[in-house]
Amino acid sequence: MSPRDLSRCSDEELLQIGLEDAQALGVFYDRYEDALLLFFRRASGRADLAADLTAEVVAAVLASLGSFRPELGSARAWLFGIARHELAQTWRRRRVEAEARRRMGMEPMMLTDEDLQRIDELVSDSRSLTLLDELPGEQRSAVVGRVLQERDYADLAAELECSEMVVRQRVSRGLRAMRAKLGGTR
Amino acid sequence: MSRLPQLRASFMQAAERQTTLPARAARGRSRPLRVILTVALVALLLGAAAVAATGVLRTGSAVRPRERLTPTAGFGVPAPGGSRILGVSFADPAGGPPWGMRVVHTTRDLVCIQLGRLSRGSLGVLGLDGAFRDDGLFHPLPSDVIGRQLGAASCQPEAVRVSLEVSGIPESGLMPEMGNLGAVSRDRWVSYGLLGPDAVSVTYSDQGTARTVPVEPGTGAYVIVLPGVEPGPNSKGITSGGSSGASQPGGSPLPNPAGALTAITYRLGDTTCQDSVTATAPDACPRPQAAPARARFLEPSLHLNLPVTVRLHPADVPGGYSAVLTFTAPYAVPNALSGYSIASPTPCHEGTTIDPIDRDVRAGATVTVPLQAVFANACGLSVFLEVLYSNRQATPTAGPGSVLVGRAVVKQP
Repeated sequence: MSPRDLSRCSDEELLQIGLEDAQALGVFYDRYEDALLLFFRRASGRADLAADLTAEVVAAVLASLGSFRPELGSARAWLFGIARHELAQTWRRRRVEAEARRRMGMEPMMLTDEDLQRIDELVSDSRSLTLLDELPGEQRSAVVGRVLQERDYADLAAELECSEMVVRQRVSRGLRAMRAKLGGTR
Repeated sequence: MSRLPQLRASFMQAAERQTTLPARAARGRSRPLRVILTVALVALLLGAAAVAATGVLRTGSAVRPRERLTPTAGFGVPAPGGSRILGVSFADPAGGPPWGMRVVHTTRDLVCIQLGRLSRGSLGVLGLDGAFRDDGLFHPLPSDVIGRQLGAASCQPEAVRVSLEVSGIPESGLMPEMGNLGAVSRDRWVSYGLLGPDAVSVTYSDQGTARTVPVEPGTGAYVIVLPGVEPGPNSKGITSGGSSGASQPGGSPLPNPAGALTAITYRLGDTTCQDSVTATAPDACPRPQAAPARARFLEPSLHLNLPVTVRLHPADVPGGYSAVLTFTAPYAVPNALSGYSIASPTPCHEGTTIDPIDRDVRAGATVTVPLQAVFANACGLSVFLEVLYSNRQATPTAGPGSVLVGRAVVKQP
């Protein structure tokens, strides 16, 4: 039997294959490590928290692999659903849980300065994120929620206490303003 | 190349262990369908046997709280006499005990909603789908199991009305511990909330058919339980959602367009009106004209300039130091509706780290807060630490509605 080219598999296929083949999970991990670190780094403002939260989320992915159902949504949405929940739990409890890591037998991490620097580079190298910070607060919240956190418009509308249409307008205007500034500085 | 090679290696080792274990042990909740069906069948038979023997479900051990509650911190503890099972119920799509709700008033002036299955007037969960080893028994849900429900807000101030939509709730009623990860076989889409005294009924969509059910008079409580999401236009991978608000009908909460609820009917004086997902509904409730009369916000950016002291001590943490921050509280925090927090702006990164001090505080008391790794995210040799106070129920943040109690600049020795 010829080996599969896992890099060509969809995220959903990787999770399915990952039930039997750890290498598929490695490919899935590689696809999302940066995205998770960036998500948590921006949410928490701290590289060490971002690393810790990412570790807990990937452990939770392993622990709950069998419950992923592609008919309910994409693997990416599922993954960030876990990530958002972990973040909310962290804010509420004021600590990062290590329950999933313990359950999966994953070793505690010893973060080095280089590790933290590599995580910080994710945000400091990103010019668009600087532009994001320059947006008016309402547009920034909408763009962050929609683009970085991949949340639904309905969900954002409920949180921001406005209609979905207003959220869409804020996202659209925010992205347009960022594109204009990027173009203008070239 | 991975940014965290140590984490990747640890992840791969765990993944290897998982995929090489025997199927049932390795996959935990991802058991093959045959096993799931067998377990479900056995559980159903056990449940049926229990019902046949006694006429009702046999009762097993109570659900244990995941964390110890404290009367003056976090959600608080259930206030004496403050818990009540609400007069609403909804049949489960697969039969068995109906679903119901309990409200729990806490010592920190929050109202928490518990969701579960009803048996003989008690709220609990069933030993199904991996819960309680599939023993088929009814397990009572004590009132101190709070803050566990997934969704936007399981505990909120009494004045806040909520409407929640949560998918992936296991048929057992026992909430998963991490995200939407719990159900192995049949899960439920549950829409529930507390809409306040003006609410009359809610309308929901059941496979395209609109159905209307009354809410509990007085509280506006409702619960609707539907089968888990089927593939279709509504399947967006949503795990939870909803809205909350303290305003009048016409403001929040509004039905979530991605949820089962399609309309809320209110009675305002002699007339009724609807908050609907349809923007052009003819009998839409009037939008509130003014901001809701919530707690009075303090002046924006008020700076009290009170002293804040920080004592450093070396520690084996990133940055090399932990600290103890001390300040004198200018305002009392009598419940969860207000609070202090420590903000650490990070001027050369983006954002601010906010650590809420989620406990009651007496006015004039000396507040001591341990801080771990104070220089972990510093971009120079010093960090700013700010003490904020807010009388909003949300985490205090800088800006309107918050008071800057004091600020300290901490230099690395």
